[in-house]
Amino acid sequence: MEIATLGLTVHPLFTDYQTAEFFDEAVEGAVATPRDIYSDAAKFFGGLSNQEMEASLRSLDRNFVKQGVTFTVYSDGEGTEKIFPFDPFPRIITAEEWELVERGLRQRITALNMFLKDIYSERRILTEGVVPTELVQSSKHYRAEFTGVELPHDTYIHICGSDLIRDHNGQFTVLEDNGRCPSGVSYMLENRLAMQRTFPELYRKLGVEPIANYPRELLKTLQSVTPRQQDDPVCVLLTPGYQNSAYYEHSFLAQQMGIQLVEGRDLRCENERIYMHTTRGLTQVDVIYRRIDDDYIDPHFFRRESMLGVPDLMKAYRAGNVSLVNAVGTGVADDKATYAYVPDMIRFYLSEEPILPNVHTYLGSRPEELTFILENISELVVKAVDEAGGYGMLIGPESTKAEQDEFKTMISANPRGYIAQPVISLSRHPTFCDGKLEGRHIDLRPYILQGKETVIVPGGLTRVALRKGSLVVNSSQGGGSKDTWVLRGDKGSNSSTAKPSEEEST
Amino acid sequence: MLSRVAENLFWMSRFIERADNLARLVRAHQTELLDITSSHHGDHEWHPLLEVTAMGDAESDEDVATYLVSSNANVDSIINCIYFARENARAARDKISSEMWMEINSLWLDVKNISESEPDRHQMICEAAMRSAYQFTGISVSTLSRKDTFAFVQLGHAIERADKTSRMVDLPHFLPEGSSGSAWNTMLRACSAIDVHRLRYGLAIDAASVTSILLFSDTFPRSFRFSMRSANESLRQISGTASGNYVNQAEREAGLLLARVSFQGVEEIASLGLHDYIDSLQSDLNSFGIAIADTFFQLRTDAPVRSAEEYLRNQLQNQSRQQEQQQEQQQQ
Repeated sequence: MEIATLGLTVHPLFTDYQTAEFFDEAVEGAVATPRDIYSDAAKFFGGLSNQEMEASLRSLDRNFVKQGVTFTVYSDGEGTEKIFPFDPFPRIITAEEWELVERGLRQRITALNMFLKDIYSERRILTEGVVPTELVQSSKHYRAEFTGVELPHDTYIHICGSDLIRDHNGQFTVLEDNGRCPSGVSYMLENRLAMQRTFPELYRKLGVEPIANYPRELLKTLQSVTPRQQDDPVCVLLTPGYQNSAYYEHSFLAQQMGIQLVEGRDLRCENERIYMHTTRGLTQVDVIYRRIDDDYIDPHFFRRESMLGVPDLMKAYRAGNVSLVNAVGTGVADDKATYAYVPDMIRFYLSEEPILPNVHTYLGSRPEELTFILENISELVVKAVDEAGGYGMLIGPESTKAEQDEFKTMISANPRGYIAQPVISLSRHPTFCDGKLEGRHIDLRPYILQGKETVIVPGGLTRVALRKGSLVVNSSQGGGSKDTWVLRGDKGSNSSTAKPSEEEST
Repeated sequence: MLSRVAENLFWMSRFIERADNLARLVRAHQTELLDITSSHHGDHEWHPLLEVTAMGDAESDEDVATYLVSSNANVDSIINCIYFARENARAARDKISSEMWMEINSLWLDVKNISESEPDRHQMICEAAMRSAYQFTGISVSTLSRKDTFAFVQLGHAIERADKTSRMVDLPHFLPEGSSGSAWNTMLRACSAIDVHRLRYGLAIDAASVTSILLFSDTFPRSFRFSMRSANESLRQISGTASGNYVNQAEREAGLLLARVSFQGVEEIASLGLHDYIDSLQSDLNSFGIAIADTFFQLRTDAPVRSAEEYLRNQLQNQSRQQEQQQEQQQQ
């Protein structure tokens, strides 16, 4: 029946749509035909007049600006608030696809946390030669001085944002793990609210897994790692302050969880305990969800010049009187050279095969791979191991000879500091560009919580490289985002018996 | 509540109220004061406004209206007040309601986006500030629980209003002899009190009728006394102290000041004169502001006091300790 209606003509939305050589999430075939799971969405957007579509886009934008859902871009020393561009065509994932992704992510976070526990205690994986000792010790974010610190539930990474891409066969693949302070989850939540407000019919029709419980799950995760056993542990969110580019997210999450949003100057250490400074005096703090990197968190311990941190926080942390989320020293695990060993970690600790594959990675620290990188730089993507946000990166085929030479010099001077990967043709997704749909590259950042339990809300933040042909999805580099709809497994896409969404009330 | 957040809430609210009051003054000035001052002072027709808003010492090449409304150089211009209100709101964003944030954020975006070439720019900024202040008050009253957040918002609002209303009553002092008649009109208009005045006292406007409404009325919501009563109530909401009692310096100063304007206004004006009386109210308000900061915003490690008795005992102990130290020093 569907084939008959769709087969009549090319869908009007996709008249000039080019999938090129890429895997497209929404359409298939030479005359771009919507995949089954996208047929309702295609019909819906195809049925909107230009005016209706423009009105919807305007209302979305207005909402984001008015609510101040913004991030700050710094240039010329002056911060400008921008909204994270939003594309209304939702990215849709089936229940079966998600089931696989979720199992893969659980496996991965479990192995990563076992790895961190191991390198900060027994170092079994190093002595058995699975991961080179040298690699861990040379990692910029390795904190040898925290060896032997006992953490609740042995969890180091409580919040992980692993970036997933789909290759030309549609295979979900892990591109990197963000195990320090992954950001973006507020956009995931705000995008959902915006879609529910703007396109309620479509949302209801498809039957989408809710994500609104994320703040509650996050709070439960924080509470589960309290060092003091008491009914109502005091959790706070530590922000660098409102000049920080992710401040909106910090205040949003604190508000959603009903916890205090604190700055370094609101906290002080006394008797190896952390207190916050309130209008009624000092209150002891049990768990700090910190959105400040290790380097800046304690000026007496790490960078002296940091004005953001809390002097002597590390004393209280080591004494086991306060928990940090994420723990100190997790940066070793999101070192891009460590990434290459995650499949081996999974085999080593769990005796399982990795469910989600890695992208093939060449390490500058391996001499034969270093030679390969230097000789083939024009065909590879090169990344600095400790950079994030799309910085410190060279996309070989799009670079000039001069840029390649510059990277070659940097790599030769510091081979451990670089990795290279083949250029992956990230999957594409229809995206509204100047009133019509065009394919744009996307990735997916799900948010994985691990404390006493492991929880992953279905979906995540789908980031879109809005510039034509671009592979870089980071917000600082011209990226935007989409809402991510994981369909409920228990129903077909046409059922209208979806139970009322819990999210409407938020 | 975090001390820093309490401070942000307090100043957010003060800056909104400050922008509102400045806008009211500018608007009232344009309709009323223009007649009297332009003939006497030429280009300086706005100077009384600078005096009354304590910007009298300002050095600027800008015309006074620009200086008051849209100047970047003047930290207290309306547009800067709106900016600071928003910055404070941003830093306390997780504590105010999202509706409050959206109101204050829209106000800032609106005034920022009014083009400099727009001939009506000043009017538009003033109108936006005034309208938004009403909306902001309405939103906070209908969205915030009656807890600390609300109390600090109200406190900032009340102290700023007391400050600005009393300054406005001082306007005639800065005007040429014989023009106070229109000044009274300006004040009443700026305080939205012109209808109330007409209802109570008819068309005859004089110093006594204006002062009794703007300084001493117990029912008119912009009066100094009314604002001080509101500040007093907010402090009690924060500490839970019973009326007539106090546990900190802020509550003590608020009570003293409220008693002054409630019971002693006539005598004090008689002995000091209106201008000096207002000056002394201003100086009490300043020390009240400092007491608020000391009590709630500064780091305190001592245990909070629970009763006036305890508070008094601590103060008396401190006093006698200081006296002893002084005596010792003298003996040496």
